[in-house]
Formats: sequence, structure tokens, C-alpha cells
Amino acid sequence: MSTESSSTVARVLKPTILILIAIVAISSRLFSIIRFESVIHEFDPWFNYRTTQHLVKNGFYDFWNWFDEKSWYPLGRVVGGTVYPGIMVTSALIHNVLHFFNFPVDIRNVCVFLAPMFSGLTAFSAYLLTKELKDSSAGLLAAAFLGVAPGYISRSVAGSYDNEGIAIFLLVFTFYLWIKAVKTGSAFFGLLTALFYFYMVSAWGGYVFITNLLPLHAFTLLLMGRYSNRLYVSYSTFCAVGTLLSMQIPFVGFQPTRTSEHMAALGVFGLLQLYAFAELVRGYIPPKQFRALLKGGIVAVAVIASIGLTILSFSGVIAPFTGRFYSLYDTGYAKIHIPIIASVSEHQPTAWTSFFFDLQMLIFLFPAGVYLCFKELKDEHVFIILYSVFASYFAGVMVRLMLTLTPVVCVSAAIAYSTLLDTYLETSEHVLASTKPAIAAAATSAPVVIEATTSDSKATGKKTAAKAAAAAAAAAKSADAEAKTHAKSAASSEKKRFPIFNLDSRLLVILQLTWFLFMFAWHCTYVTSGSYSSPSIVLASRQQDGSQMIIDDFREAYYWLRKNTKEDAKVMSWWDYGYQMAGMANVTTLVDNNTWNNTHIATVGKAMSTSEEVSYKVLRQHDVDYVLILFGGVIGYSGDDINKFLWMIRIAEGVYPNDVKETNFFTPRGEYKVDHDATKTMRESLMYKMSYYRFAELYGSGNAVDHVRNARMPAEGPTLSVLEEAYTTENWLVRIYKVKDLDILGRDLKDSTAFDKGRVRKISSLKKK
Amino acid sequence: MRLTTTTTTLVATIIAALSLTSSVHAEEFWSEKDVPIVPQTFKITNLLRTLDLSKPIIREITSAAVLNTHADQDQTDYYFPVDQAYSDNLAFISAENRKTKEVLEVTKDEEFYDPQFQYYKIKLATPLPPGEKVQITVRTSLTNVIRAFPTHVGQAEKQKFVFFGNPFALTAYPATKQKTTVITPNSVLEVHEHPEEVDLVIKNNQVILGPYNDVSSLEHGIFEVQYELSGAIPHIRRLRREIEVSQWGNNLAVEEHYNFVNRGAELKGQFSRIDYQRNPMGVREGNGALGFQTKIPKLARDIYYRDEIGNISTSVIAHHPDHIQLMLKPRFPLFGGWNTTWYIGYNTPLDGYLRKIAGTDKHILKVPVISPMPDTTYEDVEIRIVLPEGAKNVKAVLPYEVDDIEYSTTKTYMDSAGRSTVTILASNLIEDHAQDLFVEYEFSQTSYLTKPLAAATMLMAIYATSIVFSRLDFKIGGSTLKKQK
Amino acid sequence: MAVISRTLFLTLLLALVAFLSASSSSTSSLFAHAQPQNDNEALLQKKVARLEAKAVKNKGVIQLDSLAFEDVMAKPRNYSMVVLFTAISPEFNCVPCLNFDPEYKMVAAGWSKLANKSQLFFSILDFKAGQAIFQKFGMNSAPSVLYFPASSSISGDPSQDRYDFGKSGFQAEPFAAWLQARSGVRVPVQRPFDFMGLAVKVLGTFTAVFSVILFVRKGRKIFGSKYFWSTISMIIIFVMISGHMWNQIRNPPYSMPSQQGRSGFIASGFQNQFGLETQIIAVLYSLLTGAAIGLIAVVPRIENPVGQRATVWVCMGMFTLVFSILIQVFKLKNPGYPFTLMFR
Repeated sequence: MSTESSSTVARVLKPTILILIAIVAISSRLFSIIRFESVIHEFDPWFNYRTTQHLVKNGFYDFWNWFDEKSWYPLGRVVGGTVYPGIMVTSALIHNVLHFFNFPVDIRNVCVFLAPMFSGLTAFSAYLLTKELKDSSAGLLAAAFLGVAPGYISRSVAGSYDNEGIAIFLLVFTFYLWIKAVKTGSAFFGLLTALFYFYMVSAWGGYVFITNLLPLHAFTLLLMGRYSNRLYVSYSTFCAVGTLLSMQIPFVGFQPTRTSEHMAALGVFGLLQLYAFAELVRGYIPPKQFRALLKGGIVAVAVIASIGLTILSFSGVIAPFTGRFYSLYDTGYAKIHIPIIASVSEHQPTAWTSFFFDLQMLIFLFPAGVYLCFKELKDEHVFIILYSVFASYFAGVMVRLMLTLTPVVCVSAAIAYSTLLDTYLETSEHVLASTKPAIAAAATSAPVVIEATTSDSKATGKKTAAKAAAAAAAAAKSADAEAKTHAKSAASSEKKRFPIFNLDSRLLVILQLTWFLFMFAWHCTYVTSGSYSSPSIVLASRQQDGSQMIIDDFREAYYWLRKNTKEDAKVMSWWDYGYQMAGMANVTTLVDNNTWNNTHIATVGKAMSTSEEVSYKVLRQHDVDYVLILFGGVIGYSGDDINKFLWMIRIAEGVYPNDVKETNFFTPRGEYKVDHDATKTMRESLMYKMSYYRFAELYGSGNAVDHVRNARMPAEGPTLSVLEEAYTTENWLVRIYKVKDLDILGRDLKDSTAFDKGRVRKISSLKKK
Repeated sequence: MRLTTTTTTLVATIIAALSLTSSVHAEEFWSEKDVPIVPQTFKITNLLRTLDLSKPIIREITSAAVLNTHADQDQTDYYFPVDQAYSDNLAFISAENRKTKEVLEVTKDEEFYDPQFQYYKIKLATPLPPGEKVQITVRTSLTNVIRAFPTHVGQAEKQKFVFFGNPFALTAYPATKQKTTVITPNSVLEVHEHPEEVDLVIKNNQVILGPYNDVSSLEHGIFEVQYELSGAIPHIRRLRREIEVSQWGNNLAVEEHYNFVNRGAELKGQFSRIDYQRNPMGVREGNGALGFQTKIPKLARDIYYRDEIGNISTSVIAHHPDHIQLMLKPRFPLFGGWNTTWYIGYNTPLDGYLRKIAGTDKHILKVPVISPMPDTTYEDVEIRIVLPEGAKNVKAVLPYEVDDIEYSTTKTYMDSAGRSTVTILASNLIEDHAQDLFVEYEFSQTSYLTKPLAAATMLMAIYATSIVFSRLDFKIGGSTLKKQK
Repeated sequence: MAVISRTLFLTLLLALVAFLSASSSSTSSLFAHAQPQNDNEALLQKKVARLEAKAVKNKGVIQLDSLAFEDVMAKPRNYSMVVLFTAISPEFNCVPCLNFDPEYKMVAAGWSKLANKSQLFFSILDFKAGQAIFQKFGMNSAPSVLYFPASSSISGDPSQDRYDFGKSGFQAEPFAAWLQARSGVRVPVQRPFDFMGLAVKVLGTFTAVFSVILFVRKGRKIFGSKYFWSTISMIIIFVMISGHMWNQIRNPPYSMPSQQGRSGFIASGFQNQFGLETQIIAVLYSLLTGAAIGLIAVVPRIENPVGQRATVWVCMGMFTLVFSILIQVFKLKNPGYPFTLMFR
């Protein structure tokens, strides 16, 4: 370990610094609460919040078997079997513990503050991880970086109660444990890794990243000829226990044994066993025969394995990649085949600006860190290298996966940064000190191996001394082999090194770096407060006098639905708002953000994009009572349904090609118009009618302007016959329509409304006289 | 019976359409003449009665000149009958001596039970000698006796109500002369039916029945007024009021949960935003409400106004010299039949509310039962008063009788024993009930120390455990690990 | 100085790959040779001649304004017209217009190489020049291309024909195909010779060959050596963090003819970027990383104080300079960004 940590000052300082970092990490995530209020943000968090409430209210088993008939009407949803329960269970646990100690904290607040709290833990585990890689000073830097890096804050501000909130902590911590396990070769840490892997599986679909990265690491080590019993022990423990545990999550079920995403883990597991076996055999057979045997064995295994795999995958026992996962490899895939995935904004590729925006100076310190990892290439560094390469690829493909990249960026940037500081701050003796770890590791590795092997032989129950000895010998061989490698790497990296002679150059570098740190901090604060702290259910706008005006239309509408519609009212809307409606309006929804049933979503899309007659049938079939849409035309809210309409059409067309045709919504000039030259299909579509119903009346005759698409609307607005306006919010942001019942006289609703209109007009005209 | 058969049937039909109150009348028409069972010791020489319909809550003021007709005895108990059918609607009753303005004690009478009439005993301050007169004024407030008719009105359309009443002041004693004045909000009113031969004058917003001479006791008939009453009929289905006393922090935390419904005529069809934006005031003229006002103490801090899904951004706080006026604007305008719920809360210094009786451990807490909203009826009220931990011998005293008072304990932040709690259940309250209630309890100086001690022990426990754990070694093959370190 | 050389080599490779990582395309500049052909109708001949003269002047494309448009469209007309309604001028900030402009010109040039070019003329009507016409045709989006067959009148004429960018995209080839469908003549589109591309290819092949040779020489060594792998992984990382995947998926143009005011390599808008842009960024990043590595790995190896000091100052200077440049570039993309380093 590095020198400074031994001093007592450091012993006091380190925890203090870590605590401070945690505090900073938490408090920099509270902007939205200070600006607005303690409320759940976005869309998915509302589902998590709702399920958590259910869990807290009705207990774990009820939650486990919860069939939610209020969503995906009339299909319903088996919640217990289709969620990653990690986050709900976590916050429920916290809630119950607090209540046990008579701290009656509202579950909402637990949910709101969960992500920030865990961000503190994440910082800590980043410290641990980096400590394993370099030293504690680098660790502290890494913790600080990860604490405030916008790339991570973006998904963990207070109120964004989503899986990522805890998943990133689990990711980093699992990696830390893994590295610890590989370094020490202790089954204990292997087990811990497995346990946290299980937690991760229960928390986030991103666990697949771990499932593939750890085997990859093990495999690479094999290729590098770095097989050791430490590796064997840690990986076997992790894989065996981890896989079994992960299968306990209903949503995951048998995937670990059946889908291609998980095959790597099992494959490497098998490979390791074979390798270990080979190592064992080597002890008994003279080299020549062994080589022959090895060749034969390899060929045989390869053939068998390939044949087996092909058979299995063709017979469909092993499922092919899932769409979401597959779209990571073939980037064009989603756009063509799965419009739903493509339609989600966070599945878009990442422009370079996002990288810089989310990581500022870390993004170019990151490769330097990787370079340093290459310099002293120990097992753990190999891991970091693999992690950084793959994570940066995935981050490039999907904006959302910036999240998985951020930790490794922080870690390796911290390594680079602290090495810089070491070089320019430390007195000369420390500059040379960086050889020590390598040699130390080399020295210690041998006893470790012995230890491991003895435990092995115990485990296998072979008590014969000879065999144990043989095993030990084999182990020893590999051990000093790697000791050599270490020594070599150490030697190669350590030619003659000199201290920095001139004070001015030291000062220059140090001051500059410090200044960059300041800039980084400013940048992070700026980004966090500016871009990542708005709870999207409340919009803040500035008035002419500069005072903040809060646009609260969503909750206005949802609360109206909650309070003034009948218990089992069924409300149709586009899937984006499904979770929010279930959570806030407490009504039955047709589709929601868990987009498991494309056909159902397409049906809703059809109802929205077809003429009244056609869609009325759909509405009746799904006994819809209300239809809810977003319309930003009045205040210029661009994320409204008319702008999303094309996706609805596309998705609907995928399932009902002869009811919905995308081309019919484009003008002959291939433009997407809502004003006078909107196509007939467009003007007759339910969505259009609902959006612009009585919109023109809001303005003077004939100068109604849609502020989103700044289009001048026709003075004669659309007429509705199968729906009636039920509620429209203050800024017209949300419009709710009631589906009329069948006409009492059995007339076509169109006629009946026409008739009513006629009579009304007569009466009013009479009144005038 | 002062009714011809034709009108009777007519009445019957209307009555059928209308609810309880009137249907009881229906029985009465054909029942025999009622005789009062209370001792006939008084005679009413003159009686003036006003029925104020200008507000959702109906106020009836009966002031009678009472003469002791008993041969030789002084009289103290004057009985005031209320129709059993109304007794549920009777929210508040009070009496005073008209001359001396002194308040007279009114109690629900138990000894004279009559299935049709509930008697209230009014105790005269000074016994009334035979042959003497006294002027007694009785004020009653009736809730939920008016019904919207027609039951549905359109947006910004005027709503009308009907009131069924007794043309005569109901008395336990014969009255030589009595007169009733009905006051409505405005001159748009029609009296639909009433005893024919009674003379009835309508001048702009008043209906004057009588004067009648020699009206026998418990005389009653029926008359119906249909009149215009704009605005919401605010009704709180349920009010949960939580008051938490902290003597440490010298703080009184108040939180009130409201469950509101507008009892006005229901909205015909659906709500149209555009029409509303064209004339927002139309809502108030019609059957809607845009918001409510309530008073809170002037030292109240960190006031909040939220509902199940978070903060309600639209509310105005106005500071007045003696109180703070809260204008609560719900998320959406409340038309007839529309519901909403909300809760407000605030902290205020305890000083004004708690008094320690010198020399003893006795403390007396004085808080209002409700913080009233004008013209609002509270159907079902629960008041929880949480006293500091260690408070003993708790006793709550209210100015009027309530359904129930329960004593329990609740555990909240950092509690070991739990805090003694008073729960008061009441129903059918109105503004007039916004009086002070008193809770007296004993709280010794030593109990101040319980909380810090508890906290200290807790921390101690945590540290102790952490110390122990840091000493323990859970590692497998610890030796090698230590070497690694 | 092995480390220095290694670092430099690495940086070079990075820059190189960054170049590879972009879809290449570029503007064209061509000259059309006008050949007057004798025509029996004088009037038309004059007109055609005039048009061809114009075409020659404007490199195969005729710049129109409202009047010229009317004149050209006037009957009789034995030639058909292709009119590109566009808005090049920067204040409109019409990215597709800029995208399509070179492609269009390319096709025009290709046409003007043909023998019987006089049957079809390419013209451009900029919004600034011909607002009247824009209104007349109810154009409220640019660019859009109209095809007017020979001897037909304008305005509300059904036979006028529109090129659908939504379907066919902004590349020259599909546009040419579309023209062929109308005019029946195959328009050859040959992109101008791309020296940059060649250079890239040559270098690429060179390195490939080089590395192959190295590999053949001492294959295991190379594969075993961590410098090989470090280079590979560094390259991957740099390519990714400079937003190359975005280019792969969205394939934006390589660059733009630079307008007055803003340069052509940096796309406007936060979520938009050009091929060249990403390469610039990759280079900047690699320079920064290089500087950092230099400070870490190179400086402590230098034993004479003067040289060391110099190196430190150079590295740090480069670091700061490039960082501030990077921030400036970022400010271009995100004008609201408040922080700067060296330049205001």
C-alpha cells in the first residue's frame, strides 16, 4: 500500500473525505427537490413507486403473486413475474426498518431519496475498486469523480426512482468484489460476488453486462496464459452460485441456461473446468504424451461443443438474442424491425457532445488511465481494460448506456489523474515506489496459490498426499510463471525514473490540474442543475416579468381522473403515459411503458390514427371510457402526441397494414402537415380531431396558430361525434375525452350528434328572438 | 288539516320526488293532531321567526315572548321542540335572553320522549315568577335540508334549490300571535304551496307568512320555496385533523386532511375548458367553486398545501394582523357533484396554546376544534391530539357534546414509550363549532429527559455494535488476505 | 526515447483511424461545355442558347430568380426543366439544403457531359431570389425539386413532378435514377476524385501491409505484446467516444461547404454532427490524452533538467491549449455553455 495511508492523519482523513464525497454526491442530486418538491419523476419511476406502495401495503408474497388487472386491460399483467423487484424490495426494506425503529417516514420519501443515497454508496465502492487497482488516493479521486459525474447523475437525481438508481452501485460493487476474488482467490469473495450479482439481476436488466464481462475477463486471462487456481476458484464459485441464484428471479427464470446472452458464462465455466483438469493431468503424464492428449482433447471438445450448440440453438432450446440486446450488435436492426425500441429516445445513438457533456475532462483522461492499466498489466487491470473497451462501444450505440461507461471512465481517469499528482507532488522516493506493488503481488501470489490448492484438495476430498503435492507443484509452477510475468511487467515499466527537478514545472502542472478540477466541478453542477433536474411531470416556465410559472397540467388531469371518474374507468392513451396514469390517476390503462405486447400497442395506435367510425369499434371492444391525449399546441410543448403520432402510425401499420398507411398521412410533397394542407386521412384521424377540437375557437376567427408546429389552423375545427370533451387542463396540455355510449334510439352517433346540433341551433336562434 | 285533496295529491307527488325531510311531513298530514307531552306551563304571547335561506346552511331564529301561566310556581325550564326528521340536520342550537343578552343553557331533553319531536330544554337564568314574561331567542342551524332542483345544470347556468318548511313556528306551547319571515338570496323565488287561507306576502327577497293568531302548540303544515342560490354547496365528507404538541421544540404541528364534495346541482354533460376560459366567473355564479378560504394562526410557519400526488402549486397566502388567510385553489374548478381531497399543514409556536399551572406538573392545551371555512358543513370529523411523550392523566374538555373521545398512545420519531393521544370524533359540524377545546395533562420535568436519553442509548448501541464488528474477523483464510493487504 | 516514439506512433494511428471512420462525400466543381445545336425554331433556339450560356457560366446549373423562372417556364418549351427550390443562405440554417446542393450540382454536371443535354436544364431557385415563386407553388419547405416536362405550362399543372426526399434521400444516385425515370436518359454520376479518401486508403493499406509483415515476422510476439493490444483498444475507445457510432447509424454528410459565419465542419445543433467533426474531436482527444501520457510516462524519464522542464511546459501547454479549443468547439454546439478556458 502507498506510504501516506499508513500515517494516522490519513487514517482520519480518508473516512472524512469519503463521507464528504457522499454528502456532496447526495446533495448535488437534490436540485429538483429544492426547485420543485419531493415527487417521483418521469414515467417508469411511477410504476416502480406504485409497485413499491403495493409491496409495502400488502406484503411480499402478495406482491410476488400480484396480478395487476388495472394495466394492459383486458389482458392484465402478472407484475410479480415481469419486474426486476430489486429496487422495490430495497426501498420497502428501508421503509420497514425505519418504521420498526419508530421513524414513520413516508414511503414516497424513501423512494424519492433512494437513488441519491445509493449514489453515495456508489462513490464508496468506486473508491474500493480503484484502491484495488492503484492506491487509496486514486480511490478517493475516483469516488469524487463518480459522485458528481453528470453521466451518472442523469439517472439518479432525487425522484428518478428507477432501477439504474441502485443498479450502478451494484455494478461497481460486484466488479470490486470480483477483482477482490480474482486477486485473493478466496471462495468467500467469489460467493459475495455471486450474491451481489444476484442482487444486480434482481435490480436491472443490465446485469447481462456483468454476465458477459466477467467470463470475458476470465477467458482473456486464460488466453494470456494467466490461468491460476485463484481464477479457477473465484470464477467457479461466482458462476455456479450466481447462475443458480439469478434463476430465482421469476422474470429471469431459465434464461441463464437457454438464451444466447448467457451462454458465454457457461461456456467459460466449462472451459475453466477442462483447463483445470488438463493442469491436473499434466502433473501425472510425461510432457510428450500430454501434448498429444491435449491436442486430441481440444479437438474433441471443440467438435462436441460446436455440434451440441448448433443442435441446441436450431432445436430452439437456446433462444436467439432478444431484440433489445440484438440491436446493440446490429445497430440498424431496431430501426427496421422493432419500431417500439427505436421510438424510445434513450435508445438513440450517442453524439460526441453527449460524451463531453456527461464526462467533461474525464473523457480524455480516461484513455490515459487505460494506457496506465496496460503499463502494469495485472489481472485486475486486464479487467478494467476490457470493461472500458466494451462499455465505450455500448455507450456509443445507446445514449442510455452512458450509464455503464461512466464508472469505468471515472475509475481510470482517477488512476491517470492521481498518477499525474503522484509524479508531480511526491518526493523522489515515492516516484520509484510504484514498482513495489507489482513485486509485492508477485511475491505474495505463491502462498496464495498453495493455500488455494490445499483447499481444493480438501474440497475434492482426495486426501492422498501425492496428489495434493502434485497439485501443489502444478500450482507452484503456474504461480512462479505469473510471478515472472509480474516481475517482467514491473521491470519493463520501470526503467530508470527521475524525480521532477524544477519546482516551476511541478507548480505549473499541479496548478493547472487543480484548475481543471475546479472547472470539472463547475461543469458538473451546471449540467446537473440545468439539464438533469426537472421532474418532467411539472414544467417550469418563465413569465415576462421573469418570475417562475409552474405548469402543472399533467397532475391536474390525472387528479381529476382520480377523483371524478368511476372506480374502474378505463382510460386509453399512448403507452408513454400508462405508468403515470396508473400511478397518479389510479385508473385502468390499456397500454403502458412496459411494452411487452406490441399488438396491443398497435391496437391503440390504430384507434388513434383511424377515422371515428373505425376507432369507435376498437374503443367499444376494449370498453374504453375515456381517451387521454397530450396537446402542446397552445403553450408550445413539443413533446405532445401529434409529434409522436408518426410512431403510433408506424407501429399500428406494422400490425394492421390495411387499416393504417403511413403514406396517407403525408402530403403529396412528402410533408407531415396539420394545417390546411393536411391530408384527408390526417384530418379524419381521431388523434387529429381530439387535438384540435374547438382549438380554433380559442383564438379570433381564422388566426388559430399551433405553436409547436407553428402552423396556421383552419378556422373550421374538426367535429367529434363518437367522443365528447370531458376535461381539458388549464393550458390545454392534457385533453380527456369521454367515449359516448351507443345512441338510445340506435342511430349512428354521427347522425344523432348532427341532429342534436341542429336542434340546439334552432333553440338558440329562437331564444335570440 | 288545511289542505284540499287535490293539493294533497300534488304534494304527495312532489314529496315522493323529494327526500326524507318532506316524506316525514307526508306522514304527518294524515296523522292526528299532536299534543305536547311537556308540562303546559307557558303561553307564548308573541313570536317572531326568521328563516334565513340566503346561505347553504339554514339559520332559524325564533324569538318568543313567553308568559308563565302556572298558578303559583316559578318556572325555569322552557322546552323547544324540533321535528325528529330535522334532528339529524340540526347542527347547532343556542338560546339567549333577548333583553339581557345572557346566553341560556340548552340541553337535549331525555325525560320527555316523543317519536315525532325532540325537545330541547332551555334553562332560564332566573326562575320566572307566575304571570311574568320573558323574551327568549333560540337560534338553530340546519344543514343538508335544501335540495337542488333541477338536479342538473349546465356550465355557468343558474342553479335553484327547494326548501320545504313549516309555515308555523313549532312551539311546545300555544301562541296567541306568531309570524314567520323567510329570507332568500335574491328576488328570484317562487312559493309553490302553502295553506291557502294563510295570507302570504312576497316582497322582493322575503316571504312573510302570517301573522297568525291563536296558533295551537306543535302546529304544522307545509310550504315549499324554490329559490336561486349560486355557488358551490361546500361539504366536507371527512376531516382528519392532527395536532402534535412538542414541548421540546415549543412547537405545535397541525395537519388537516379534507375530503370535499360540492353538493350543488350536478354538472350537466361535460366540462368544456373553452367555455370556462371565456367566462371563469360563470363558475361561481353557477354551481361551481374555484377555491376556498380558511384562517390559520398568524405565527404559522412552513405552510404546505398538497394532495395524494404532491404539491398543489395554486394557493395564495395573505397575512392579516391577527391571522393568516389561506386561499386554497384546487387543481381543477369544482362543479356540482365533483370531488377532491387535499391536506394542509403548518407549524406554530406553542406559546399561545399551552399554559402550565404554576407549582404543578399540570399543563392545559387550548386549541380550536376546527379552523372553519365559511358556509361549509363537516360531515365526519376526527381530531387527533398527540401530546409529548410522558404526558399523564390526560383529559379533554369540549364546549359541546361530541360522538366520542378516545385516549390511546402513538409511537413516532424516536419514541420509546409512545405518546399519549386524544382522539375526538364528531359529526355534522359547522362554523359555529369553531370554538376552543381544552386538553389538560401532567408532564413532569423529568420526562423532558426521556428523549435525549433514548437517543443517546440508541447511538451508544450503534457504536458498540460497530466496535464489536470491527474486532471480529469474518474472513475465510484470513491469514493470506492479511498478507495481501 | 522509446516511449515518445510509441506515443507518437499511437497518436498518428488514432488520427488515421479517425479519418477512416467517416463516410466520405464532397462538393464538386465542374465545367460544362456548351454546344449549340441548330434548331429550326428561332425563338426557342435563342432561348435554349441563352439557357445553355447560363448553364456554362454556372457550371451546368442555372441560377434563377422569380422573373427568370417565369421566363424559362413560359410556353412554348421543347425542353424540360428541373428546378431545385432551396434556401442556401445561412440565416435559414437549412441543413438538408446544404446537404443536397453539391449532390444536385453533381448530377447537373453529369448531365451536361451528355450529348443531347439541351432537352433538360437544371436550375436552382433560391428562396431569397424567388420568394414569389415559392408562394406560387406553396412551397413551405426546402429543399424540394420539381420536374417540368417539355411543352407544359406551370402553376397547378398535374404533370409537374416532385422528388421525394423522404423516400429517396439526399444522395445524388437516387436522384439521378429518379431523373432517368422522367427523362429516359441515364445520368452518369461520377463523384469527383477524392484525394483525401485516396490518402486515407493508401495509408490504411500501407499500415495494414506493415502490420501484416510485422505479424508474419514475429506473430506471437505481436499478439503477445501489450503495445499491439493497447493500440487496438485505445483506437476503439477513441473512435467510440468521438461519436463514431452515431455516424454509422445516422450517416450524416462528411462536411458542408462552409458558409460565412460558421465553418463547414461543425454541424449546428447539439444532437447533430458531421463526419469530419467527429474526426476533429478524435484528434483533439488523442492529443489531450497524448499530453497526459507524456506528462506521466515521458517526463520522469528525462534526466537533464532543462529538457525535462521544456517537455513539461510543452505538454502542459498543449494540454491546456487543446482543452480550450475543445471547449470552444463544444460552445459552438451548445451556445449556452458558460465556461471557457483560454479563449473568450
